Amino acid sequence: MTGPLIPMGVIGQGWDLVIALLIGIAFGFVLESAGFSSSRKLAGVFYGYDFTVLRVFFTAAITAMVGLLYFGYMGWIDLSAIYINQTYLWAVLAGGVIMGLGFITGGYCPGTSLTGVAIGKIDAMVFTGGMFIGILFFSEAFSLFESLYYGHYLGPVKVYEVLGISSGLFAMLLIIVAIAAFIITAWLQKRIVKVEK
Amino acid sequence: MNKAYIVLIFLLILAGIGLLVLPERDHPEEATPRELLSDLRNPSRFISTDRVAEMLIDKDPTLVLVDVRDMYDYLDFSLPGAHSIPLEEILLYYWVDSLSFEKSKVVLFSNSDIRAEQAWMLLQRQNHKNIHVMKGGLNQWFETIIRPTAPPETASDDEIDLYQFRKGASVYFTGGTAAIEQEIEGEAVTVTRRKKTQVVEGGC
Repeated sequence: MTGPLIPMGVIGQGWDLVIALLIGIAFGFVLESAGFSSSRKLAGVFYGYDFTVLRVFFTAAITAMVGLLYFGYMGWIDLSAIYINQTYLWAVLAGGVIMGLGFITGGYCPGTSLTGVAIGKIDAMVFTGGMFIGILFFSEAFSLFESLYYGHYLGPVKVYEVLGISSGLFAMLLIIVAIAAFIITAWLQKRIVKVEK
Repeated sequence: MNKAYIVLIFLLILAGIGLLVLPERDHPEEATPRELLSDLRNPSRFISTDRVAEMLIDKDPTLVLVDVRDMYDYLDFSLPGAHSIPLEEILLYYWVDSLSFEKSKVVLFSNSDIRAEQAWMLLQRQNHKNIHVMKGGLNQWFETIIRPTAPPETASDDEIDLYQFRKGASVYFTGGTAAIEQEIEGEAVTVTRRKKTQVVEGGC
């Protein structure tokens, strides 16, 4: 049996949304358990008193990366069959800026705002409402944004291919960056005192 | 720093070093050249145009005809009931269900044998069963079924029977009707193209 399971026909195509729902529920549960349904936790990354979010997502990313590369090496997964997000450079940059601003001002990202809603946080409900208004606005005004949305298409690029290095070397570099980030943020966190009101 | 973190950092670095030193490796479970040659020399994949015509006339429900030429050719002309899966698309995963029926006979055809043979080889490597190639393709179809040539007067009875069958089939496929009725048991097979569903994308 070789993964990815859906493109390889091991799991029927119709199951993808069901599996996505189950993973989504598990993901929401973990986010809530880790305390991410509090806007202070996320805003803490920006203000420097709590870097849990950075640590959790960076750990998740490098764990997934290392796991996938080893699975690929063992032949358990066909890495070429994995869906990779298409890169539209301008859209990614604009989206990153908007998401970052939303992150700082609201203290939530889309996933955590929903976990906040699930436990009845009012600020999360306002944030989620704003998110849906934003989606509606974007959809209705799509023709205005179309050139930005599709601008500078790069295809499903991979960083290590662009850099011209091997995937193993890139993985090692990213692990070093992650570890450095963990150590630096731990050091920073000790020196920055959160002001509670 | 917490001891658990130190252990985790150590493990991560170890995993990273592992990835760094492991050589590149290709994994496809490839058939060896010897296996490929043996597959290529095995004529059991071929099915004659006469047999295809017979199955079509009998309305054999186990027959799945697949036209591997491009879509324009298919729209121009194809065999009755044939499905179009151009060679370039044959590996797309949404055809998997259409090409893997246990009890049916999937017959690939193109203008000659070449594209159908290429498609057959690709599907063979994907471990599909019951995949056949219509020998000679549509060119042969025209020569034998649509415009059969009469055998010489000295021909054997079998050859004359075959010619008569072909003449009948020609009438059948070019607008006439044939009165051959035969009950064939088997499940009717329908080929559907799966809807391309939106890929679920991630995000936090």
